[in-house]
Amino acid sequence: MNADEPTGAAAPPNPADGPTVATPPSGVSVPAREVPVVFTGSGGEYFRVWIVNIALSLLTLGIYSAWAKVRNRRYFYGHTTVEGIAFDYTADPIAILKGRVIVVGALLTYSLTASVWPDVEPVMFVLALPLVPWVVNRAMAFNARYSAHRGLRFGFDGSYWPAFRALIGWPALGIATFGLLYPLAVQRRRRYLMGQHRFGSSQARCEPTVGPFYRAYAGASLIAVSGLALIVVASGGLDPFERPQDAFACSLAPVSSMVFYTLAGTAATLLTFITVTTYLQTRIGNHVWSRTALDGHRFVLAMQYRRMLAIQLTNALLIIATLGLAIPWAKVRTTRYRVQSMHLVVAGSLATFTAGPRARESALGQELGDAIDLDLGL
Amino acid sequence: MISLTARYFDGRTSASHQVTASLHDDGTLRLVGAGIDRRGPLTAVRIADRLGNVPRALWLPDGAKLETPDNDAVDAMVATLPPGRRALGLVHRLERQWRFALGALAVTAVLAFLGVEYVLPAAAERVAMLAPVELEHALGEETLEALDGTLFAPSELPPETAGSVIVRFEHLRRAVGFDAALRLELRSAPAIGANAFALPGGILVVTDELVTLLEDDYDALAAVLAHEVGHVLERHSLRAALQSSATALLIASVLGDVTSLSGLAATLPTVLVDARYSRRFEADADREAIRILLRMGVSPAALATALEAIERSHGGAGEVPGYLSSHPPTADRLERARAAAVTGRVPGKD
Ligand SMILES: [Zn+2]
Repeated sequence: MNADEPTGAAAPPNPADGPTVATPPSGVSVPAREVPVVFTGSGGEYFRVWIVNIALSLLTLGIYSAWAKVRNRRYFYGHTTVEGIAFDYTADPIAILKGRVIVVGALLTYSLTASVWPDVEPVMFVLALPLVPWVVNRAMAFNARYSAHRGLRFGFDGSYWPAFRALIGWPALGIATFGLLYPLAVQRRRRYLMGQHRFGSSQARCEPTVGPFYRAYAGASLIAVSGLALIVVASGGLDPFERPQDAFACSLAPVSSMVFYTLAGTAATLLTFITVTTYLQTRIGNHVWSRTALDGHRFVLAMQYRRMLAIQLTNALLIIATLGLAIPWAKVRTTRYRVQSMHLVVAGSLATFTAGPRARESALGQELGDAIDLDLGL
Repeated sequence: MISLTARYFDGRTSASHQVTASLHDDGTLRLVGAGIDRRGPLTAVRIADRLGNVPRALWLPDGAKLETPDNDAVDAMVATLPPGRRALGLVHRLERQWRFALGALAVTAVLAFLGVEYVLPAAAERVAMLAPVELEHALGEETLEALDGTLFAPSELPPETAGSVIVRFEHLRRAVGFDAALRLELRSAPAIGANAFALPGGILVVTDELVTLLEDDYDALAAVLAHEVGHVLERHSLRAALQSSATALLIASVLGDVTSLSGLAATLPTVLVDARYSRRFEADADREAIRILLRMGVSPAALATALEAIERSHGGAGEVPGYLSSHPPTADRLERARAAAVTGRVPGKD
């Protein structure tokens, strides 16, 4: 792959982006070319990273888990390349550790208060709700700021009220309309979360249409309904959500039929969940990414549902059969397929992005950052 | 002199430039490429820790970045730095070799075993014993309601039979001296057959089928109730709930992200752990039942009589493998109860 791309060949759609980018003469169209995104990780290599980091996290009673988190993420970022150039994750584990302490403390306080004074819980929930847009903005900004490519950082420019509308307003409307507007709410959320990203100084443009969201949810509902029937049959006709053993009744003698019903019911639930989630992820993921552009360069994501489902189901089987040891191979397989299903339609050159503004550092937001762990899969 | 080729990014644009980076003996790093000639001390460069074959990043103080696949050359450069700067290289040395990975696997397995076998149950017991029984009442009522909607139907026992069961229950309650609310419920449960349950909050359920099976053997009936009271006294339902959710949480957080589909599949083996916990609780409840029976002056052999009758009534159908079973093998339970009948002593823990 060429290392020295010609500079100044592409025009950003927005000429106000900066004087450092040379604009080609008007009327000259830049030929677009397809650039694949490549994943070079391997299951064996990742297994060693994964298990060593788990052991170290356990030995340090969880403290090392922040370092483990960074190493795990660096592994996947570093093995994802465009034109032979890798992505990089540079977050400070100490910041992540602080974030985790804060979040665990907040959750403990919340659940302890809720169990001692159950009447207070709805009040706390209502009080905590307005914090959500702020927290999500901070978390997204943290992850973006410490993601880098070609020496430039990503960024996430969230603001409170747009986030409030996308993350609380629309979902509330989706619930109020008994799900009728829910796909629209998801479209708003995905558009917000993707569209506020920038690479260097270039703002992403994300314009997903609503139709594919409705189609995706319609398809997923059909799968879910048939899955639910399967769960009921597998659970021996019991209401899958009120299986008695979930209630922890101790019996005198084994209720033998229940073991099989529990196992079959759990397996059917898992199968349904994987099938539905994979359907939504591939359909919506394909659409959102394929409607995202960065300075005239477009993304195309073309995952095939059948392929992805086959990968996810065999992964689940392998993981269960190996009591979790196959997880690294499963993650590498899934990531490889997802990453290799993506390519960029590059108008000109990828060498012309410029650095963004110096990040405004917000201590608390930074600390909250990774603990909430929202992943767009970038 | 160590040198390597790398991509150079100036941190202001995304343009990639091929450079040769060489480390001179005096600790100066020099970058040479088309239109680029920079130098500075290596100590001022932030070098990412090695991670497998991930391309290595070197960040210069002004935000410029070098990216190179030549990890070995970078390692050679790092080796010239003072020891304090090489801290996490150790982690890579562990990650690089299969024997250390297998060692890490062994450490993980041992720690997970200790946690699931000892730490978690002890912690759950402590928490459960702190919580008043009344806390479980709502949970118990919900459970009974759920069972009433599915497996249970109202009792169809003749009133005098039901009355004598209740008399036996009151007798037992006095013997236990447990003043927390114990409540007896009778239910018809054709799908389950002869059995008895202890729900959270001290709700005991005995099926019509069991009462009919034991007929007039009131000692066996007392043994059944004593076993269920044992579950209540030892707070097994709350402990099972705590342990089950804690195991799932532990496994998910140890193995990685809870959110991913793969992570979800990894929580399925908790079924095995839950079954193991359940078997332990059942053995404890048997022990507690024997203690209560001895105090009432009833032979613990009555427990064996009841268990044997139940097993016979189920016809041994639907045998599940031992590791999935919620109860210890019936043969073991019979043996322990009969041994206690001979010695007159409560059996010790295994
Ligand atoms: Zn029991």
